[in-house]
Formats: sequence, structure tokens, C-alpha cells
Amino acid sequence: MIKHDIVIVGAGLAGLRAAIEAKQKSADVAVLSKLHPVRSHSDQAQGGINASLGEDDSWEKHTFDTVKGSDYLADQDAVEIMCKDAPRAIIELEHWGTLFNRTESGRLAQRPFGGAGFPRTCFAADKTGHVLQTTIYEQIRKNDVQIYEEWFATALVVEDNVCKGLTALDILTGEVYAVQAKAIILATGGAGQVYSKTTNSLTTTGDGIAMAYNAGLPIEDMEFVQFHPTTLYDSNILISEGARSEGGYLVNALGERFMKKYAPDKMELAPRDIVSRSIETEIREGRGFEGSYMHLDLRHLGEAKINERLPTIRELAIYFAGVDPVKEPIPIQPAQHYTMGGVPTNLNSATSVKGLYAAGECACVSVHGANRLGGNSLLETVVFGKRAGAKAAEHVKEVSVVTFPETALKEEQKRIEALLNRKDGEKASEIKKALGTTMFDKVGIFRHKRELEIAKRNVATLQRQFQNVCIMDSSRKFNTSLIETLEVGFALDLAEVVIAGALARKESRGAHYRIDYPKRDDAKWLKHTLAVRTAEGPKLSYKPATITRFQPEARGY
Amino acid sequence: METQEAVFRILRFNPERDEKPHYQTFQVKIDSRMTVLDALENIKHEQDSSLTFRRSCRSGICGSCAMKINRLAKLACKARVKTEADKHGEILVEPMENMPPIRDLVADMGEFWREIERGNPWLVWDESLAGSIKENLLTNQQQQISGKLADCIMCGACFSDCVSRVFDKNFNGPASLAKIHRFVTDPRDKEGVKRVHGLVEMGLWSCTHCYFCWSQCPRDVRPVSAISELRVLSYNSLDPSQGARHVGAFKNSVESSGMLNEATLYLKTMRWNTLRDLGLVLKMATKGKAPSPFPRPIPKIDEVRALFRVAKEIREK
Repeated sequence: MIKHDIVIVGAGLAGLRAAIEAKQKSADVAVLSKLHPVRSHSDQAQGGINASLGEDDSWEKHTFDTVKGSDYLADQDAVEIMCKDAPRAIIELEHWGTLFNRTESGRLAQRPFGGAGFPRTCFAADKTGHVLQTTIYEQIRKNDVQIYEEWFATALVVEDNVCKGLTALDILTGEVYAVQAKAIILATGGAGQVYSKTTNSLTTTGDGIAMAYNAGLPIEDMEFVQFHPTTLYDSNILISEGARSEGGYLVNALGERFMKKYAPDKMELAPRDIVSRSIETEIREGRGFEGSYMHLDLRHLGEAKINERLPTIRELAIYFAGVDPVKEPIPIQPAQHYTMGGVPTNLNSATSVKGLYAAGECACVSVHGANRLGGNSLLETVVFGKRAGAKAAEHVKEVSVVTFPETALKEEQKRIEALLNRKDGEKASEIKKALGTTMFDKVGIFRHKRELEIAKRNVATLQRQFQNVCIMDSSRKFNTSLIETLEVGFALDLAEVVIAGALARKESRGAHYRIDYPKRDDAKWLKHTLAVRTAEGPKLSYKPATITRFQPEARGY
Repeated sequence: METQEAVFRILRFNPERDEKPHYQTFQVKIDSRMTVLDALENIKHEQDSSLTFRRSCRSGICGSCAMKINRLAKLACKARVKTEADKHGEILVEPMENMPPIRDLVADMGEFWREIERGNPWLVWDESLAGSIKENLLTNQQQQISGKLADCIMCGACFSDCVSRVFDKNFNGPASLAKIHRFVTDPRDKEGVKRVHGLVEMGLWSCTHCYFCWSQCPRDVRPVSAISELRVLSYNSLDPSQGARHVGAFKNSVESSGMLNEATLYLKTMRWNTLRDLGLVLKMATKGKAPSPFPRPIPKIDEVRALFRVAKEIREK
């Protein structure tokens, strides 16, 4: 049995920031990740990270923009903590070596981002996630934190509302181990792969959220799924909001900058939910190119600025769409991008289970409410990752011992053995494909009761098929088919929760838009969804959103 | 888009079943935009679920899917099937080299990471700044010099295709040296140029400048340039290594006589070790095969020296 005081699942920004904090508080901490840390999805963030550093800016203004962007569903006490801590959190990353872009005077440069009243997004060209992930991994090595890389966590072990550890599969050998810990921090990221069209990595499958759900924890606000307005047509590779913040135009097939109809003030820099809906409306009303995409035009920025500020965008467009943005507009369409919901936590990243914490995209504090603003997700990872690490380190000092139940390991080994030995059945890849298409077509940018019910039936059918899934590769060592199958299982569970929440929420708020209920309804729905696993499917309840200083208002841009 | 078929010849190895690796052929329907990763996913999901490879972001930034495609290390997600097929007829896919295979296209990157670690690859930051909300001031130019090197995604392609690493297992490799140079160029690093000490032991002079690390880097990091820069720093720091002496002797010989004089080159590089080979040297001299250690300059030596002056001026700029 493997034993540590704290085990962190996931090695993206939230997980690694938590690890550094716990290590500095002299806890025995290890990070367990299905990928080598530098492969984590945080690496793919492009545009930037927010902090109110400008002289005319303030954390209060940052808080207001975030709350308004969230369509008033964010918990305002959590948003305040995040925005107050933002300057410290970002300067710390600078001290650790992050190569942010600079102003003429050598200070951190900031660009304007969607839904923000000030240019408050710090950035490193259009590869901010990569430089942050690299920096924080370097400091992890400097602090000599132990890492179990290419280990896949399969289940949390919770008894009497106390977390005892988890079971995990060493991908290299194929062996399943018991990992006993006084505290577990989930930092596994979002669940983008539930959707067929997503900017997320193929490995972003919501494992941590699903493990918490399977362990009996409630899951919050999963119906709020962010669709990024600008992803490359067909491949859905992310084209950063930075492209619009540097001055890019969105243009329909009639050559119009159509955002003037939907957000006359902010235009292209309205929040993502609004821009995605506008694009989708243009497409549905027949003003798309070839009926299915818009143009993102950067040509007027000129080659020098594109090379300096958006080099990755240029490269991605050339490689993956065959289009050089210096000479031609980029074909774009919206695709799934971010999971606003997740495992509910308090302001210290603690969940309702003793010893279990969550931070980053897999958590729901909630700082993003119904719609996240660009530049706030990287910020959330470092602010709440640090808090999770600190609290977990405090917690393990108070707990003298936990005992991992032997039976939990045996059951998990049996389950995985049975999966490997099944000789005939359904293919996980087919199930995943059908799931992704159903979710994108029926639980996408625009939703309707009729379609949501079809999605619910489809997913139920896929769940039944999954009961008989066959891996068709019984090797133990580096069995990626086994991993992919376990991931599909997680994705199916989460899809049910997304659909249940979306069906029940009879209003439109942020990224959740119901054609049959097109208005926000604060009287009935200014509250968070909580879903608990039962034999009959997800059971829903609600909790109020925390409002401190900003009463809900109409949301215009 | 027009579709056609492409032939994939993939090196298969399952340590639980196979004694040694073998090639297996697959046919895949392709279109003009398909990447090698798309094709591998297609084979795994349609033809053989046991095919094993790493992948994650599918957009060239996570560095998971480096492998040898038609003999050169590339990211499968950035290599286009049609380009490869047009150039080579078929698509030959093998795991990266200079690291042992684990299964199929998955290589054990342990050695690569150990070599990276040899260079203390983290910023030694000023810890008195902890908690302060004042950033270090840095120019955009400084940011861009280190930033170019920080683009490295640790995919291992340069290490796989490094010719010097094949012969010299002490050579820490291109990525490791590029990473060290990233910190040497960063004014915030408290070690800074001191990092150059000890690089000789790590094989700084083992690189043969074959440029594979430049050509195969998917992020255009150009490790070989970093190695050259580190050599200049190492040379200027009067590091009395054999490699530095060799370069110095080479330069002095050409600058003073316009020709490469093997005798002075050898003497200055090997110093007292020359005595070890004295027999051979004398034998060569008697056969007229050893040049005089006191060469006469070529007639237009001024022109050569002018070139050196220009090069020096450019460098100083």
C-alpha cells in the first residue's frame, strides 16, 4: 500500500500549486497524474490571467465584472477572495520565472478581455498556460515533490463521510494499488470530452468530478457548460480570445461585423456565452460561410503585431486550417471549452467530505457561476490551489491516522480484471462518439426540453451499452484502451448530470440557454443545482447563490 | 475533400507477448487535412484497439505524441498524412530513439527527464521577494530571448534524433542545454552565467552541430543555437576544457595563417597528452604527412583577418 499524508490527483496548475503550498508547510505530499505534469491541459490555455494591477482598476471592479459575467450566479464571497488575491498570485508567478509580456517601462503588460471593464489580463503572447505550467512544474522540481506520473486514479474511498484515500492504476505495469491518504485534493480539470466538439485535450474527461459523484458527493451546476466562440472550424482547436482582444473582427458571410447587433458596446469583447450565441444565431439564420462557420479577421492587425502577440494562433491556423491569418480570415465556430460546474467546495477548497478537497476546473467554489470570463480560470487555479494545499496541510496535522479498507482495493481490482477479461461486447470508442454527438447536438448552445429529453434517452441507452463494454486488449502493461474505457465511464455519468440539470432549470442564464424559457428568472432560479447519484439517476436539490455587494441587474454589453 | 488510402507500417512491440519488435501494416482512408495522430486514432478505434501511443492535446502544445515518422522524430498531431505519403509512399511509424521502448510507440522517457534534471532546471529566484506585490522589471526584449527557449514543450524529439547522444551517454542532450540557456539568459536567475560551470562535464562539447535538434523541434526552439551560445560563454569564462581549447586553436590557426594547421590544432587541444602519441607524430613527420608547427600565412591573409574583425563586430553588437 502507498501511504502519504496528502495525495493530489492531477498535475495541472491547481494541483501543482496546491502541492507547492503543502510541501512548504512541510506536509508529506505526492502528486498523482495520468499524464506527465507538463502534458496537463493547463498547458493549453492561451490568452491570459486576470489581476487588477492598473492604477484605475481595483479588485472591486474585477469582482463586479466577474459577477456580472457569471450572470449573477457566482458566489460573491468566493469571487472577492479570488480578485483580492489576484495581484499577489500573479506577481508570485512572475517571481518564480514566468515570462510575461512587458510594457515599455518593464512592468507586466495587460490586454483587454471579454466582459472586463479594464485591460487586466496578464499574458505571455498567446501561450500563457504553457509558460505558467512550465514555471510551476520547475518550482515543483525545485521543491522536490514526489510525482506518480502516468498513474490513473480509478475511485475515491470514502467511509462515514471521511476520505481514506483512493485506488489507482499504475499505467506502466497495469497494477491497481491502494493509496492511503489523510487528505486528497482533486485537481483533475474539466469534462470537455463529454462533447464531440471541444477545445479540450483528449484526456480531459472529468475523472475527478465523476469520482466524487460516484463516491456519493453532490455535484454542482454541471448544466453550465461554456462554449468558446472561436475554435478552428472542424478541428475545434482553440483560437484565443486574445485574438479579439488584440483587435480581431468577427464577420459573417455578408461581410458584416455582426456583433454590433448583439453587443453594441463591447462588440467582439462581449462575454463568451453572448458571442457564442450570436455566432450560432448567425449560422442558424443562414449567414454562415458554407452554412456553418464565421470568419475571424486579423488581417488589419498586420504581420508584426500578429507575430509578436499571436504567434501560436498564426501557427495553429496555418497548420490545422491551412489559412495564414496575415493574409486570410480564420474560419471559426463555437465548441465546448470549459466546465463551470464541479465538486462543490467552501472558500478553503474543502468539500463536504472530511479530508477531501478540490481546486481548479473540477471544483465549483463558485467563482464563475453561469458563465466564466476569459482570464479567470488560470487565476482560479493558482488562488484556490494554494488555499487547498494550505488547508489540507493543516488538516493532516490534526488527523492522527486513517485506515484504508482492504475490501475497497479488492473490489476495484476485481472490477478492472472483469473489464479486461470480457471477450465480447460494445466498443468504448463507439459509445464515446455517440455520447459526444448527442451532447453537442442536443445539449449545446441552444437547448429545448424536447431535445434534452432525447439526449436523456440516448445517454441512458449508452449507459446500458457500457455495462457490456469490451476492451479487446487484455494486456496489463500500458493498456491505453483500458484507460480510455474507464474515462468513457466517467464521461457518461457526468453527461447524465449535465442533462438532468439542464432539463430542470427552466430559465436562461449565462451559458445555459433554453429556447423554451429564454429569460433569466431570479425569483425562481438564482440558485445552484446540486446532483447526487441514486439508483434512479441524478437526484437534484438546490442551494442559494451567495450575494454580498452586487444585486442582480439586467446584463447588457 | 478527395479521399485516398495510405499505408501505415508501424513498429509493434508488446512486452507481454513479443520477444522483439516487428512491423505491422495498416491501410487507412485519408483526406488532405488528416494528421498522423488522426490516423493512429482511427486504426486504434476501427482496426486494432491494442495499438498503443501517447496523445493528449492534439494541437502541438502538450508534447505527448512525439514519435518517429518516416525516420524523423515528429509530433504525430502536427505531421500531415498526405505530406508524408506524397514524399515517402508509405508512413513508417516507430517509437522515439535514444530511449528504450515500452510498448508499441510509447518510449520510456526516463533518461530524457534525468538529463533535464541534471541542469537544475528551475529559476533560482530571489526569495526575499516572497509575498511582495512588486514584479521584477524586465524588458520585452529580455522576455523574448528567454521566452523563445521557454517555448520548449519537452516532447523529446530533439533527444530522440540527437546523433551525439547515440555515442555519448554522458551528453545531456539538446533540450537540457536549451533549458539551461533559458535560465542563463534570464536576468532574474540568481545563478545566471554561473550555470555554465560544470557544463563541460555534462557534454557541452559533445554536440556535433548536426542540426537535427533544430530541424525536428516542433516549437522552433533551436537548441543547437543555445549550445553555441553556451560554448561562447564557457570559452570566454576561460574554462580550460579540451573542447574549448580545440575551438580556440581552430580559430587562432585560421586567423593567423589563413589555414587550418593540424599540428598546432593537435598540440593546443591535447597539450601534454601529445607525448602519448609522440611515436605516431614522428612517424608522420618522417613521411611528410605532418604539417610544420610554424606555418606561413597564405598570401591574402589580410582578407581573412578582415572577416574575423567583421564577425567580431557583429557579435559585439
